Amino acid sequence: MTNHLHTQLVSTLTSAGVDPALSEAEIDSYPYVTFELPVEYRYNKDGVYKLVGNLTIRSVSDDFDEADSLRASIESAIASGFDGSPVNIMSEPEDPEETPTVLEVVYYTARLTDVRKDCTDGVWVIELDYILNQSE
Amino acid sequence: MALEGYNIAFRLKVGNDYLTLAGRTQDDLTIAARTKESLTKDDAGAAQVAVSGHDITFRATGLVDVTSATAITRDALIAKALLTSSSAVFDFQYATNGNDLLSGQCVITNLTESSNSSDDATLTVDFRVVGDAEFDDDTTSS
Repeated sequence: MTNHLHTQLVSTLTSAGVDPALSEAEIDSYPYVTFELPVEYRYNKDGVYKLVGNLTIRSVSDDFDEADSLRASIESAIASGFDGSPVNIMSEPEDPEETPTVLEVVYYTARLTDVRKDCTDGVWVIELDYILNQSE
Repeated sequence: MALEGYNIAFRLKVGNDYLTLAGRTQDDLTIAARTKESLTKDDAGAAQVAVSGHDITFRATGLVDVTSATAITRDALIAKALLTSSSAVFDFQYATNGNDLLSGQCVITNLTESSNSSDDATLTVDFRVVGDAEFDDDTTSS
Protein backbone atom coordinates (compact mmCIF):
# COMPACT_ATOMS: atom_id res chain seq x y z
CA MET A 1 0.00 0.00 0.00
CA THR A 2 1.39 3.39 -0.96
CA ASN A 3 0.82 6.69 0.80
CA HIS A 4 -2.09 8.64 -0.70
CA LEU A 5 -2.97 10.63 2.43
CA HIS A 6 -1.44 13.91 1.25
CA THR A 7 -3.10 13.67 -2.17
CA GLN A 8 -6.46 12.86 -0.62
CA LEU A 9 -6.18 15.70 1.89
CA VAL A 10 -5.17 18.35 -0.65
CA SER A 11 -7.80 17.29 -3.21
CA THR A 12 -10.48 17.19 -0.50
CA LEU A 13 -9.60 20.69 0.68
CA THR A 14 -9.19 22.30 -2.73
CA SER A 15 -12.51 20.89 -3.95
CA ALA A 16 -14.14 22.59 -0.94
CA GLY A 17 -12.57 25.93 -1.91
CA VAL A 18 -9.81 25.83 0.73
CA ASP A 19 -6.31 26.40 -0.66
CA PRO A 20 -3.81 24.73 1.70
CA ALA A 21 -0.07 25.34 1.83
CA LEU A 22 2.77 23.63 3.68
CA SER A 23 3.73 25.31 6.93
CA GLU A 24 7.04 26.50 5.50
CA ALA A 25 5.32 28.36 2.66
CA GLU A 26 5.42 32.16 2.85
CA ILE A 27 2.00 33.66 2.36
CA ASP A 28 1.69 37.42 2.46
CA SER A 29 -2.08 37.88 2.70
CA TYR A 30 -4.80 36.72 5.09
CA PRO A 31 -6.61 34.38 5.35
CA TYR A 32 -4.49 31.33 4.68
CA VAL A 33 -4.33 27.66 5.64
CA THR A 34 -1.20 25.64 6.39
CA PHE A 35 -0.76 22.05 7.43
CA GLU A 36 1.72 19.43 8.55
CA LEU A 37 1.06 15.75 7.95
CA PRO A 38 3.68 13.29 9.20
CA VAL A 39 2.69 9.72 8.32
CA GLU A 40 3.43 6.47 10.17
CA TYR A 41 3.30 3.05 8.54
CA ARG A 42 1.70 0.17 10.45
CA TYR A 43 2.83 -3.35 9.57
CA ASN A 44 1.57 -6.86 9.99
CA LYS A 45 3.44 -9.92 8.71
CA ASP A 46 1.97 -9.44 5.23
CA GLY A 47 3.23 -5.87 4.89
CA VAL A 48 1.76 -2.39 5.41
CA TYR A 49 -1.90 -2.62 6.35
CA LYS A 50 -2.55 0.94 7.49
CA LEU A 51 -1.13 4.45 7.33
CA VAL A 52 -1.72 6.84 10.19
CA GLY A 53 -1.32 10.58 9.61
CA ASN A 54 -1.10 13.07 12.48
CA LEU A 55 -2.51 16.13 10.80
CA THR A 56 -2.17 19.61 12.22
CA ILE A 57 -3.96 22.16 10.08
CA ARG A 58 -4.32 25.83 10.89
CA SER A 59 -6.48 28.59 9.60
CA VAL A 60 -4.91 32.05 10.02
CA SER A 61 -6.53 35.44 9.61
CA ASP A 62 -6.59 38.94 11.11
CA ASP A 63 -10.38 38.60 11.31
CA PHE A 64 -11.84 35.99 13.67
CA ASP A 65 -15.00 35.36 11.62
CA GLU A 66 -12.90 34.76 8.52
CA ALA A 67 -10.58 32.31 10.34
CA ASP A 68 -13.54 30.55 11.94
CA SER A 69 -15.44 30.20 8.66
CA LEU A 70 -12.31 28.66 7.09
CA ARG A 71 -12.14 26.27 10.05
CA ALA A 72 -15.76 25.24 9.41
CA SER A 73 -14.98 24.66 5.71
CA ILE A 74 -11.96 22.52 6.66
CA GLU A 75 -14.00 20.46 9.12
CA SER A 76 -16.81 19.75 6.68
CA ALA A 77 -14.37 19.02 3.81
CA ILE A 78 -12.41 16.49 5.89
CA ALA A 79 -15.64 14.92 7.19
CA SER A 80 -16.79 14.27 3.62
CA GLY A 81 -13.41 13.32 2.10
CA PHE A 82 -12.49 10.93 4.91
CA ASP A 83 -15.88 9.33 5.57
CA GLY A 84 -14.77 5.68 5.37
CA SER A 85 -16.25 4.97 1.96
CA PRO A 86 -14.12 2.95 -0.52
CA VAL A 87 -11.91 4.98 -2.88
CA ASN A 88 -10.38 3.49 -6.04
CA ILE A 89 -6.72 4.35 -6.64
CA MET A 90 -6.36 4.43 -10.43
CA SER A 91 -3.23 3.91 -12.50
CA GLU A 92 -1.93 6.84 -14.54
CA PRO A 93 -0.87 5.39 -17.91
CA GLU A 94 1.63 7.43 -19.91
CA ASP A 95 -0.24 6.63 -23.10
CA PRO A 96 -3.45 8.76 -23.03
CA GLU A 97 -5.28 6.13 -25.08
CA GLU A 98 -4.78 3.48 -22.42
CA THR A 99 -7.64 3.04 -19.97
CA PRO A 100 -6.65 3.60 -16.32
CA THR A 101 -7.09 0.51 -14.16
CA VAL A 102 -7.90 0.19 -10.47
CA LEU A 103 -4.61 -0.38 -8.61
CA GLU A 104 -6.07 -0.69 -5.12
CA VAL A 105 -9.12 0.17 -3.07
CA VAL A 106 -8.46 2.16 0.09
CA TYR A 107 -10.56 3.60 2.89
CA TYR A 108 -9.93 6.99 4.47
CA THR A 109 -11.16 7.92 7.93
CA ALA A 110 -10.53 10.97 10.14
CA ARG A 111 -10.91 11.71 13.82
CA LEU A 112 -10.77 15.26 15.18
CA THR A 113 -8.77 15.17 18.39
CA ASP A 114 -8.16 18.82 19.32
CA VAL A 115 -9.12 22.38 18.44
CA ARG A 116 -7.10 25.39 19.63
CA LYS A 117 -8.05 29.02 19.07
CA ASP A 118 -5.44 31.64 19.76
CA CYS A 119 -4.97 35.33 19.05
CA THR A 120 -1.56 36.99 18.96
CA ASP A 121 -1.12 40.66 17.94
CA GLY A 122 -4.56 40.68 16.32
CA VAL A 123 -3.89 37.58 14.23
CA TRP A 124 -6.21 34.66 14.86
CA VAL A 125 -4.82 31.12 14.55
CA ILE A 126 -7.24 28.22 14.77
CA GLU A 127 -5.41 24.90 14.94
CA LEU A 128 -7.09 21.55 14.35
CA ASP A 129 -5.50 18.18 15.13
CA TYR A 130 -6.71 15.15 13.27
CA ILE A 131 -5.75 11.49 13.13
CA LEU A 132 -6.14 10.40 9.52
CA ASN A 133 -6.18 6.73 8.54
CA GLN A 134 -5.66 5.08 5.19
CA SER A 135 -6.39 1.36 5.26
CA GLU A 136 -7.04 -1.50 2.87
CA MET B 1 22.20 -14.07 9.93
CA ALA B 2 19.07 -13.08 11.77
CA LEU B 3 15.80 -13.99 10.16
CA GLU B 4 13.16 -11.29 9.75
CA GLY B 5 10.00 -12.19 11.67
CA TYR B 6 7.70 -11.95 8.69
CA ASN B 7 9.47 -14.90 7.07
CA ILE B 8 8.16 -17.26 9.74
CA ALA B 9 4.55 -18.35 9.42
CA PHE B 10 2.09 -20.57 11.25
CA ARG B 11 -0.48 -22.10 8.90
CA LEU B 12 -3.59 -24.19 9.30
CA LYS B 13 -4.88 -26.61 6.69
CA VAL B 14 -8.11 -25.50 5.03
CA GLY B 15 -9.25 -27.83 2.24
CA ASN B 16 -6.06 -28.79 0.45
CA ASP B 17 -4.09 -25.65 1.27
CA TYR B 18 -2.23 -24.39 4.28
CA LEU B 19 -3.38 -20.84 4.98
CA THR B 20 -2.01 -18.17 7.30
CA LEU B 21 -4.17 -16.27 9.76
CA ALA B 22 -5.43 -12.99 8.33
CA GLY B 23 -3.83 -9.84 9.75
CA ARG B 24 -1.14 -11.83 11.56
CA THR B 25 1.44 -9.83 13.46
CA GLN B 26 3.14 -12.40 15.65
CA ASP B 27 3.56 -16.17 15.96
CA ASP B 28 5.07 -17.69 19.11
CA LEU B 29 6.31 -21.25 19.31
CA THR B 30 6.93 -22.86 22.69
CA ILE B 31 8.46 -26.28 23.19
CA ALA B 32 8.37 -27.33 26.83
CA ALA B 33 9.99 -30.59 27.90
CA ARG B 34 8.14 -32.88 30.29
CA THR B 35 10.77 -34.01 32.74
CA LYS B 36 11.06 -36.58 35.48
CA GLU B 37 13.56 -36.29 38.27
CA SER B 38 15.00 -39.00 40.40
CA LEU B 39 17.13 -38.63 43.45
CA THR B 40 18.41 -41.78 45.08
CA LYS B 41 21.34 -42.30 47.42
CA ASP B 42 23.35 -43.50 44.44
CA ASP B 43 22.83 -40.12 42.78
CA ALA B 44 25.04 -38.66 45.51
CA GLY B 45 22.95 -35.50 45.75
CA ALA B 46 22.81 -34.80 42.00
CA ALA B 47 19.26 -35.24 40.67
CA GLN B 48 18.90 -37.24 37.48
CA VAL B 49 16.58 -35.71 34.91
CA ALA B 50 14.87 -37.61 32.12
CA VAL B 51 12.77 -36.08 29.33
CA SER B 52 9.61 -38.11 28.79
CA GLY B 53 8.01 -35.97 26.10
CA HIS B 54 7.25 -32.43 24.99
CA ASP B 55 4.37 -30.01 25.19
CA ILE B 56 4.33 -27.90 22.04
CA THR B 57 2.14 -24.82 21.85
CA PHE B 58 1.70 -21.96 19.43
CA ARG B 59 0.29 -18.53 20.03
CA ALA B 60 -0.80 -16.55 16.99
CA THR B 61 -1.56 -12.85 17.39
CA GLY B 62 -3.04 -10.64 14.71
CA LEU B 63 -5.36 -7.84 13.77
CA VAL B 64 -9.03 -8.64 13.40
CA ASP B 65 -9.52 -9.07 9.65
CA VAL B 66 -12.92 -10.07 8.31
CA THR B 67 -12.36 -9.51 4.59
CA SER B 68 -9.21 -11.39 3.56
CA ALA B 69 -9.68 -13.71 0.59
CA THR B 70 -6.33 -15.47 0.91
CA ALA B 71 -6.01 -16.12 4.64
CA ILE B 72 -8.15 -17.41 7.50
CA THR B 73 -10.40 -14.58 8.65
CA ARG B 74 -11.50 -13.88 12.19
CA ASP B 75 -15.00 -15.31 11.55
CA ALA B 76 -13.55 -18.59 10.27
CA LEU B 77 -11.21 -18.77 13.27
CA ILE B 78 -14.05 -18.31 15.75
CA ALA B 79 -16.03 -21.02 13.94
CA LYS B 80 -13.01 -23.33 14.25
CA ALA B 81 -12.61 -22.51 17.94
CA LEU B 82 -16.22 -23.59 18.55
CA LEU B 83 -15.82 -27.04 16.98
CA THR B 84 -15.73 -30.13 19.17
CA SER B 85 -14.35 -33.70 19.19
CA SER B 86 -12.40 -34.90 16.15
CA SER B 87 -13.44 -31.99 13.92
CA ALA B 88 -11.61 -29.65 16.33
CA VAL B 89 -8.24 -31.16 15.34
CA PHE B 90 -6.45 -29.28 12.56
CA ASP B 91 -3.37 -29.98 10.50
CA PHE B 92 -0.77 -27.27 10.89
CA GLN B 93 2.52 -26.22 9.42
CA TYR B 94 5.11 -23.96 10.98
CA ALA B 95 7.39 -22.84 8.24
CA THR B 96 10.28 -20.58 7.39
CA ASN B 97 10.33 -19.03 3.94
CA GLY B 98 7.85 -21.63 2.71
CA ASN B 99 10.04 -24.52 3.90
CA ASP B 100 8.36 -26.88 6.32
CA LEU B 101 9.94 -26.89 9.77
CA LEU B 102 7.31 -28.36 12.11
CA SER B 103 4.09 -30.03 11.06
CA GLY B 104 1.43 -32.09 12.75
CA GLN B 105 -1.97 -31.69 14.30
CA CYS B 106 -3.24 -29.19 16.84
CA VAL B 107 -6.32 -28.03 18.68
CA ILE B 108 -7.37 -24.50 19.61
CA THR B 109 -7.18 -24.15 23.38
CA ASN B 110 -7.93 -20.46 23.68
CA LEU B 111 -9.14 -17.55 21.58
CA THR B 112 -9.21 -13.98 22.84
CA GLU B 113 -10.43 -10.98 20.89
CA SER B 114 -9.56 -7.55 22.25
CA SER B 115 -11.14 -4.34 21.06
CA ASN B 116 -10.72 -0.94 22.62
CA SER B 117 -12.03 2.39 21.45
CA SER B 118 -8.88 3.85 19.91
CA ASP B 119 -6.74 0.99 18.55
CA ASP B 120 -7.18 -1.77 15.99
CA ALA B 121 -9.00 -4.82 17.33
CA THR B 122 -6.68 -7.79 17.87
CA LEU B 123 -7.09 -11.52 18.10
CA THR B 124 -4.94 -14.00 20.00
CA VAL B 125 -5.30 -17.73 19.40
CA ASP B 126 -3.54 -20.46 21.38
CA PHE B 127 -2.92 -23.83 19.76
CA ARG B 128 -1.70 -27.01 21.40
CA VAL B 129 -0.06 -29.72 19.37
CA VAL B 130 -1.63 -33.15 19.77
CA GLY B 131 0.33 -36.30 19.07
CA ASP B 132 3.82 -36.07 17.65
CA ALA B 133 4.95 -33.10 15.64
CA GLU B 134 7.14 -33.88 12.69
CA PHE B 135 10.40 -31.99 12.65
CA ASP B 136 12.02 -31.41 9.30
CA ASP B 137 15.51 -30.02 9.76
CA ASP B 138 16.57 -30.34 6.11
CA THR B 139 16.14 -26.62 5.78
CA THR B 140 18.31 -25.70 8.74
CA SER B 141 21.05 -23.43 7.48
CA SER B 142 24.56 -24.28 8.44
